[in-house]
Amino acid sequence: MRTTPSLVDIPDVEENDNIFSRIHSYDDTPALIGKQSAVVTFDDLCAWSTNILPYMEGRHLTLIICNNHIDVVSAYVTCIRANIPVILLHESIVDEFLEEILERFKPRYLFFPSKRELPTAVEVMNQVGMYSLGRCYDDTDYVIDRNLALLLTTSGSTGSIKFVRISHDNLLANTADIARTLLIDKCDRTITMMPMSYTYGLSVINTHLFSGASIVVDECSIVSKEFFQHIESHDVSTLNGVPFTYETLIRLKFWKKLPKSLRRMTQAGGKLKLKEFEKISDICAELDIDFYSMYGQTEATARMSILDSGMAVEKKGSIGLAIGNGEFELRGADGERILEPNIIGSLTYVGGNVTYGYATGWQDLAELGDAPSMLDTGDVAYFDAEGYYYIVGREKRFVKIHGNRVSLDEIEAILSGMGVENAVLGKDDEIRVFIPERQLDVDVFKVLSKKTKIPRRIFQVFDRNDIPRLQSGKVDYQTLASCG
Amino acid sequence: MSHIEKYIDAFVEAFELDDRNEAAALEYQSIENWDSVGHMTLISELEDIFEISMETDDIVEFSSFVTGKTIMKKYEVVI
Repeated sequence: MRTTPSLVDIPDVEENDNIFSRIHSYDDTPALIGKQSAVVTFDDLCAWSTNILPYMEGRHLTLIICNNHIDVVSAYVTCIRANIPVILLHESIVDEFLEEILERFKPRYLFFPSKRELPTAVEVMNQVGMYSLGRCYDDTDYVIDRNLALLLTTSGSTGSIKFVRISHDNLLANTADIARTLLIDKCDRTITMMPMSYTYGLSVINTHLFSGASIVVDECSIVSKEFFQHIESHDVSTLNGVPFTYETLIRLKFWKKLPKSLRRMTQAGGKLKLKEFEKISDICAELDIDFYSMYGQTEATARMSILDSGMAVEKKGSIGLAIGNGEFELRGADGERILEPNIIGSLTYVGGNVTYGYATGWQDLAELGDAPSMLDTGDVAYFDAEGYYYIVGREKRFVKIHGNRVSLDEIEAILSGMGVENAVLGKDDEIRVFIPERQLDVDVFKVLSKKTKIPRRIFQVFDRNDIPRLQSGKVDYQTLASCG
Repeated sequence: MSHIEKYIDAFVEAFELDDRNEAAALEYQSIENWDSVGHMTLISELEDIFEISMETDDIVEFSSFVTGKTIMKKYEVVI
């Protein structure tokens, strides 16, 4: 039976609060479920803080090297609750990149897998299971804005040292809006299907714990037997995935393998192809599962809009309506606001979840400044007669590879840095690289793939001796695209 | 080409292996390229090469080069 939560189940948001400041009220109900079905209750989760807090002096930036493990989630929750600003990085981060981040941001503390060799020496303050809390020897003191909660990368793959500055207000606004729109309640249980250092993966964790729901924390992937065993034996109610997840679930004929407990599926991290959108929404409608297609980006904390499950069939391919108090605006080439339906324009967003720009070093953490007024999404969209939004393309030169944002300009820069003349085009899950024949070298792609963590098969290589250029000297991408 | 050669080819293609001798020891997630994306690429390769269509349970149980051989038998592909 589906239950609609009464509004009293969802904690009210007050000023100077944070997303986890009320979780102790969920007492001994399960919060996290780890390996061998180890249950961490909300009481345990709150008590876990004694593993690190007594060893941390003052409010300093803390870097967490993440994989999906209950101790890592607990460390993150502890920091947010105690208003300790955190940087989250995926465990696959290469040393070279990690070293640069340590140099530029000078975090005082690191929470990391003990077996990981760090590029800098740290003093180990405490060990928790397979993880350690380390203190950096560099104790440069610097001011950090009280409202800064979190630093997240936008891509995590191409290695740009640019982190989105996310405040407690941003997290509160977005987490509460998402939880309310998806009707997440204490009875819900989800499973980690994305890295927690990835905006969408983290948002799943935030919304569930905020609402008193529980999370099966595991690294297993959707193409493993364990995954299907977990969702069955733990009565998982919600699955979340990027377009690739859904393409795979369809190939796996997932509807044959779903537990009875499943009542909700959410999708974000890029646009689902229309054919797959239809397939998923039809199946979900048939099985009485709520399917929510969502749209967002790290610069908006996580989500900007959600297509209500009741509209998934009727408004297929839509990103829905802006969540909570957020609002979309469309602007034409002349900068004027578009007020008529079905006209394509640049999509901007206004809301309490619009983040405070970027940080490239510790100097950028002192002051967040005024709340930003609006976010230029870089996407091109239109709305229909009922006000439902649809994305049609992108203005900015980036693509999504398996849900991760990849900047085409960064790929160009990496290749140029290797001394290779090039131009790069792409669409989601495909990057086209144009290189003069004389510079074609298999090794180039091996290195590129290693540096960017993008599989080689994503790169399609074309030899092109004269890369077309505009008078300004910039690559003429239109001409390049037209002659493929 | 023999079945075993074709079977190895699928791994080489899917995981962009430099050395085909690496294939026999591979397990799911033992190398970076055998992640969920690589897994589905491997399954597609095998389905194309042997002109078969694999069942859900077989796809999720295909956890290593060795296990895969047994699974292929179900589809009358003896390796």
